[in-house]
Amino acid sequence: MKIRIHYTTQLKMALGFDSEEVDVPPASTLLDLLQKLKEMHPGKLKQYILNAQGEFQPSVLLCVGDKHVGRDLSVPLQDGEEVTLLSVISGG
Amino acid sequence: MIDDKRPDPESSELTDEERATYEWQMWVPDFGEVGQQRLKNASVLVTRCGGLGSVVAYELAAAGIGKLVLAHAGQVKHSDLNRQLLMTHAGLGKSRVESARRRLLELNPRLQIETVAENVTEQNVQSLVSQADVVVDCAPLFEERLLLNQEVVAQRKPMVDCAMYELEAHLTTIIPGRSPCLKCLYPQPPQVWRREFPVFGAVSGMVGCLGAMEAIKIIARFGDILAGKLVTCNLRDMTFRTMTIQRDIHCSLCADIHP
Ligand SMILES: [Zn+2]
Repeated sequence: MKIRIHYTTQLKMALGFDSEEVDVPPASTLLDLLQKLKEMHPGKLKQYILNAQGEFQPSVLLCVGDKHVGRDLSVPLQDGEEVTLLSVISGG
Repeated sequence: MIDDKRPDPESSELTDEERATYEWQMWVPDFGEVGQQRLKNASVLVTRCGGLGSVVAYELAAAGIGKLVLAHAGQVKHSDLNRQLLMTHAGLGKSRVESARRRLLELNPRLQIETVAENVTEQNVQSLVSQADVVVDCAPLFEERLLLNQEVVAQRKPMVDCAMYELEAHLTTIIPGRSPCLKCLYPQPPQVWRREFPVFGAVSGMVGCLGAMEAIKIIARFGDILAGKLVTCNLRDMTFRTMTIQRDIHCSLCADIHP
């Protein structure tokens, strides 16, 4: 199934684009999707989405559609869903 | 609408000059003279008067806020002047908060201003927050934001959190016990954040205006505020989205606070 990913702020700057479509197997969860993104962009995304222990950064807000899902990565995804990785910012 | 049944504090009536100055905004439905009096009797802490905080403070001064508490260290530099609209070329090398005070009083000489030539620290945060009814967080460092967040939760005060980066901006309002606090959203600062970031003044100024409007609505108690919502703006393609955001039921700061 196809998922549209949106990247914001520093993630967008690191990747050089703000959106892409990713194919994942049916019944994939948010965690499966993030694993796939990590494999697709090993160098560029790593420092933004993984912490020193190799776990997903709690400072990236994950939204499915327009809803922030907190830290529950077991959320199942549907075909055609939009997932946004919001990298928190602090510019004043 | 904001469901706030608190009685107004002892409020001072508007003067003829204030009525003449704020006449056009008092025509706004649900605001009126009562809203204007609430602004007159309120104080707002703006932390750092940079690209964002300058515009927040200026719009609040224009709207007739009673008192501003401004915290910002350092002297005006050339690289401030593309966005820090309370700083001027003539003020280069001089105190930023004093420059801010001068500009704000030129606009609104009735305004009370308390300036602190320091950024938010563990030593001053309690006293700064205690002087304000509402906090508008415009700090460029996550450490300052998280300190302010901790203190507004402790003092149960609303905080408007505005941030920008490049052509993007985020805005949310924290009402302790009712909305996620910053620690619910990110328990630690991101590993990668540079103190110096790409910025146009038009972007920081835009989110400053949005933040000022949130503060005005909280104080005057009208409209819908962004508690539990995060607005994201991307001025590269003019996309504005409103996300619903959720509290962390294990948040070490606010999980035990209920509305
Ligand atoms: Zn919290």
